[in-house]
Amino acid sequence: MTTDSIRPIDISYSLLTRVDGSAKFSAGNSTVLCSVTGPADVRIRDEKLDKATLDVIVRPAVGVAATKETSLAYILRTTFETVILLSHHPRTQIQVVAQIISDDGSIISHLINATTMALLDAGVPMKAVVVGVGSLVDDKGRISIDPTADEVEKAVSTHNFAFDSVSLAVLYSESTGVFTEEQVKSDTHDLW
Amino acid sequence: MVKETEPSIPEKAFILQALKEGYRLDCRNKIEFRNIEINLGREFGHAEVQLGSTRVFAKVSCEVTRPYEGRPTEGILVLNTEMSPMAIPSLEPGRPSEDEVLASRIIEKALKRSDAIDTEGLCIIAGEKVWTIRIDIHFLDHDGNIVDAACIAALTALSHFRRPDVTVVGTDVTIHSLESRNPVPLTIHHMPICVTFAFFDNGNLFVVDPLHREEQVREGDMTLTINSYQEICAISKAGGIPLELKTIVECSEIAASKVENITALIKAALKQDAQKRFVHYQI
Repeated sequence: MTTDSIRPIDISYSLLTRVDGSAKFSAGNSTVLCSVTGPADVRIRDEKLDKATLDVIVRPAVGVAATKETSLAYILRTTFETVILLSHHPRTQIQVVAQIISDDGSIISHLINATTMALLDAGVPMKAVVVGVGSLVDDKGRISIDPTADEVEKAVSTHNFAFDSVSLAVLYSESTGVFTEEQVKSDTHDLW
Repeated sequence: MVKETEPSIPEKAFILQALKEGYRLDCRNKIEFRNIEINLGREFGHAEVQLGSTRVFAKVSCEVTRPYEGRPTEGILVLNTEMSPMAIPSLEPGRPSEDEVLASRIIEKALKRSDAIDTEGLCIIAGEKVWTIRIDIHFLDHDGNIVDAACIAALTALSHFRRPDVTVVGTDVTIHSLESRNPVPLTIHHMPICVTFAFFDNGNLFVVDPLHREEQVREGDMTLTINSYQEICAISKAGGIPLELKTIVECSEIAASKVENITALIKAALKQDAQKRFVHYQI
């Protein structure tokens, strides 16, 4: 089955009391809860003199954070570092904690979306709003977006992107599997 | 790293004075719980509990492992609690705070030591293969009394959980997927529920289900773990002011009545979920 739309989305804001901003983003059975604290005190060893430090923690629903979560945290950090106006708050820390509640495919794009919402809720100054989308190409060369975990299993290649709402440029892109240049181009174009 | 703010001297005095006059910060009665909301996920073994604004999420999962050498016919129950800066912004990630370790121990005592879950039923082939049931408890928001909230979340998730069915022929084990055969619920002997009390004014005053602000000014605390058969499974009192015997008896009576309400709430949530699933199944 191919789909050209995202699963039903459910978003709630400001759920948590002790952090500055929080948001829960779910699409189908994939749910992510994200919180943002900051700009706040920074540990001396992380302090940057000209800008704020962005700290991202990703936590899995089952088990303890391992390599996969560290890699997801790295993707989130590098994606958002270019969008958040970090130079507005030098020598502070902005901390993002993303808790995966349930993972049913396209989790990276939902992590990106939840983080954007939580940052907006916390009132962190940003150049643009970031939106993430996951997609796949199946064995018949068809593209579907926001695939579930089962669909990803059968995919020939998967492609995840994050776009910036102002320049509409690609902030993050990651593809796995076997694919041609044209497929990625048309995929990127479709999602955009 | 946000610094944890201690309540100021006037704030402490205000909370204490108000308590002495019978008032609490959120207008609750001294022996009243906050509103408990239980949400079950679409997946089995997924429960989110809100106790006022304290929020805990529990996820139960299972896998087939080798049993412990000394207990070849028993399944394994693993409990993992983690607190992140999401719940307490002042927390340093990766370094569990004293409160967290204490909370984790109390929940472990409540669930594992009281034999609430039948572990022998989790055996597939003695000495070879057993189910390991893993409970991950995530503290999402900490506004006091995380122990009670976590205990409710863990028990609800365990009751909601279904493991895949297995067939054993000789030494061949077939694990049936959730779609091909009806999954099996865990056998739960009883539901030990924690009720936490906070003590003030040399033990003359106590409240049930303390808020975070109340926890900061309390002089001592005690957690009673009681099941719906009115049996005390555990009493945890780690230090703090000494309590009189009659206070403890009074507390356990209050706790027993609270436990009944909470058990009813959990059962209602599970029943509602089961009905929803049944309707969905019919369509």
